[in-house]
Amino acid sequence: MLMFLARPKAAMPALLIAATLAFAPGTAAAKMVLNRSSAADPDTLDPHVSSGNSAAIVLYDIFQPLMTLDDKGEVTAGAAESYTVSPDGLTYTFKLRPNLKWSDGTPLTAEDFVYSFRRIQSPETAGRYAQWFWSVKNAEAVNKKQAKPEDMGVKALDARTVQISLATPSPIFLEIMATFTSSPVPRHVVEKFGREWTAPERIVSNGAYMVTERVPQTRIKAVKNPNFYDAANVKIDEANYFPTENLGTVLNRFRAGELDVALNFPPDQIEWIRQNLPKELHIAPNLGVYYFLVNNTKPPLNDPRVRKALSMAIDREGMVSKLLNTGVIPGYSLVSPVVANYSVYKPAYAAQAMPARMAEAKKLLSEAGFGPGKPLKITLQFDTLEENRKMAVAMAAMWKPLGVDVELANSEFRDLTRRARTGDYDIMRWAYFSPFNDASAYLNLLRTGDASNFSGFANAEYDKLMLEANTIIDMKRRAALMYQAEQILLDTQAIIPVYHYVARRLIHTYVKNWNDNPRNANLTRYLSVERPAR
Amino acid sequence: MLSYALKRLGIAAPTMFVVVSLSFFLMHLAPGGPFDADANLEPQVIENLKAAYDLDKPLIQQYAIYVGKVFKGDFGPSIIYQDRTVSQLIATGLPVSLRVGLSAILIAALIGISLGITAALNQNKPTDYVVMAAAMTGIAVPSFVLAPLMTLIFGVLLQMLPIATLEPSGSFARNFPALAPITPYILPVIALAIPQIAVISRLTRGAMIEVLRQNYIRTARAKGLKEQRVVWRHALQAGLLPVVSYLGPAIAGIVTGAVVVESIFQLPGMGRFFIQGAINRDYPLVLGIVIIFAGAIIMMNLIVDMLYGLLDPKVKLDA
Repeated sequence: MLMFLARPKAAMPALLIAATLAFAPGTAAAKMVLNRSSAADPDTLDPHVSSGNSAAIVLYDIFQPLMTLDDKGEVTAGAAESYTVSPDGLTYTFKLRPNLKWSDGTPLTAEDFVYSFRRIQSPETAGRYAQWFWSVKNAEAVNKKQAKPEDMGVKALDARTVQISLATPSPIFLEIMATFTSSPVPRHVVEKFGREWTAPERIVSNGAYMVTERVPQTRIKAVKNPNFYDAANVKIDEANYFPTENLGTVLNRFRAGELDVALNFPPDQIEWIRQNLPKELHIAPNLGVYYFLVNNTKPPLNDPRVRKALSMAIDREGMVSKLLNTGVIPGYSLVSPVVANYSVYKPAYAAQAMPARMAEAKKLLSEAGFGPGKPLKITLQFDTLEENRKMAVAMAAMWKPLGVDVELANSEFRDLTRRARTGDYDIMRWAYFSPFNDASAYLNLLRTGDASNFSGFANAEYDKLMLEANTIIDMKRRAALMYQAEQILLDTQAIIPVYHYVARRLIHTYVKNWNDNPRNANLTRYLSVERPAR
Repeated sequence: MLSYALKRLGIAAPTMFVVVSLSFFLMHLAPGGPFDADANLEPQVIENLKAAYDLDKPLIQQYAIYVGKVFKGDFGPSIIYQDRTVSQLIATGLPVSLRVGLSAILIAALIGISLGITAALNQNKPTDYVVMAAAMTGIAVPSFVLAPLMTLIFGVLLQMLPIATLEPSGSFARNFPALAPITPYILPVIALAIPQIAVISRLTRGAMIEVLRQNYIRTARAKGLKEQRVVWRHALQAGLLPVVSYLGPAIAGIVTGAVVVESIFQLPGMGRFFIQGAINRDYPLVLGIVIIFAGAIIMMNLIVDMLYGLLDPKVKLDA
């Protein structure tokens, strides 16, 4: 101290540093880190190109579209602080937050969004989900090389205003604007580096985090973005994403404390987890449905009576509790029961007891001309996964009392997809995970001529209902239209729903503000880690 | 020796070409393409994707484009890891695989050969039985059982070693700070080494027992040579031949294909890229790794043959 007094000028900085080191609570050692597992190594960190399966978790953290998701997974204002919709529902005007910046400090303007929406549709980008934006004026034409990107209905009115014009009203437009695909990308970086602009030393983003390290198949590290408009409220300093396809490793790493959040675990360990990690276990319904595709165009399953008989004979409750035992929900509808603004249609037999259902199913089959003398013969396709094999065997067993002769055929998922696309099957295990928290995403799959209509279901009334539902803004009437559509679908049993998926998570109790939600979206910016000292 | 090596390398080039061509067409014969897993894509989107990777062109043209690129040393972009090239992926994967694989083989060779010699010198005695029983267990327990068991014991229960993080953690790293950087690799190396120790010790034992019965060994002993010199100088040199010929392909295999161990310990090695590439029909990625794998096997076989020339006086390489 004496020395400091004698040489005040030199001493002051040293004293300050010493004081900072001694008393500041947030020194380097107290950095808040979240370690979370992801399904597999992200295909790419380019939000326009990624399929999202394993990248979404990272993309939601590092990018921010006009709309975003809140801490409960609901759509809320993102890079735009507000928006207005014209009365006809055709014009959306988004007002950006003031002084938005990219993670490198470059100003982020409405022009960046215009560039980005054009880039999504450009055929050279080969964006997976370009089709989501086809309600935007000329978007489809641009993607099909029939129009120039400048002709698209997206323009910047000024540096902070983006206006999007639609060709038809789109009730889920704000949902779409909140997906990772709608994220802006930094033109100044993309055009400089091309396809490899997402390398960790180059990538520039506008979300709460920015990627600083990427070890393929092992780890992505992201740190807090100081230029994020809400950085003051972001608590976690560093997020690590570990792609871990080996579920046994996920569980062991979680138990060893290497992971704070584990997205999945070996299903056969669920009993052990229920006993030993009850507080950490989260089972929450999501937007996935497991169902059977039925070939509506090929005898014998082109007869609705036969399809209905098969569906009635499935003891979903028994299967879910005894065979799967992983928390999944028995399913009678295509649309997931947790979907917002909609209540699903359930066929009447859902409430019937199994013996009564079996009797009716037998009756339906004999009406269709099948019985002891002429058994129904079908081939059931499934792909190589233990759970799918179990399901296929159970199906065959449940259909046997009806006198149905089931041949089980196992193949690779890619072969299943080929069969689905070409109609080369009788009945096939299938699943759908909706990217939107909206019933139309499911029901649109069965429209006549839809690229994803693998059942060959074609019903003019259904198409009419869905056409109206897809372009109407009155949400109440819309729900009623979709309910009618689902009723048509399930009364003819165009598909056979079996169960609704749940997300199986392990979350350490010291991870705060984790809210399970159907979208399975838990952005790191809303979480905090109050890790006990180890 | 040098002319022999050059001649062998001369044959290697056409071999590689055949391997690349066969793999190219076999890969494309597999049902489905890289974009078939995502069933709900619009036809237009699939068309755009195919065009972006030249997959819309006739197969023979794709082949010509690919071979042309490979000759220039360009393995092309990966199809599943869309923002990375195959060369980048191999450049990150190969060093990890080399480090882990070579460490495991080195340890396995040292321990395995020592155990094998010990067992051979104590043939049909308790030591022999113990060593061989241990070796049988090592062969019988597959790595997908052994590796998770090790993570459970050393990672979860004892908290000694990290399970699958690249950062040092656990009590071992705290107690031995100097060794901390290698802690993430300890379990994977052991998991890879144990089955190899088992095989190598059995091979060594068998060969040594055979050699120790040979007449020249009896002669050496009759001349009054020390037992140590008989074993280490005369017997071991011949006894190692089968081990050397096993090690060649084993090194190539362990470096490029430690799939199970890599996936359990989350190591960013080549094996996982290979499997992911094959499942997802990432043609350039699989072909790139096949080229590396084929190159490694050709090189290792050459090295083994040259070592034979050194170890076995009966082998003349220039003949």
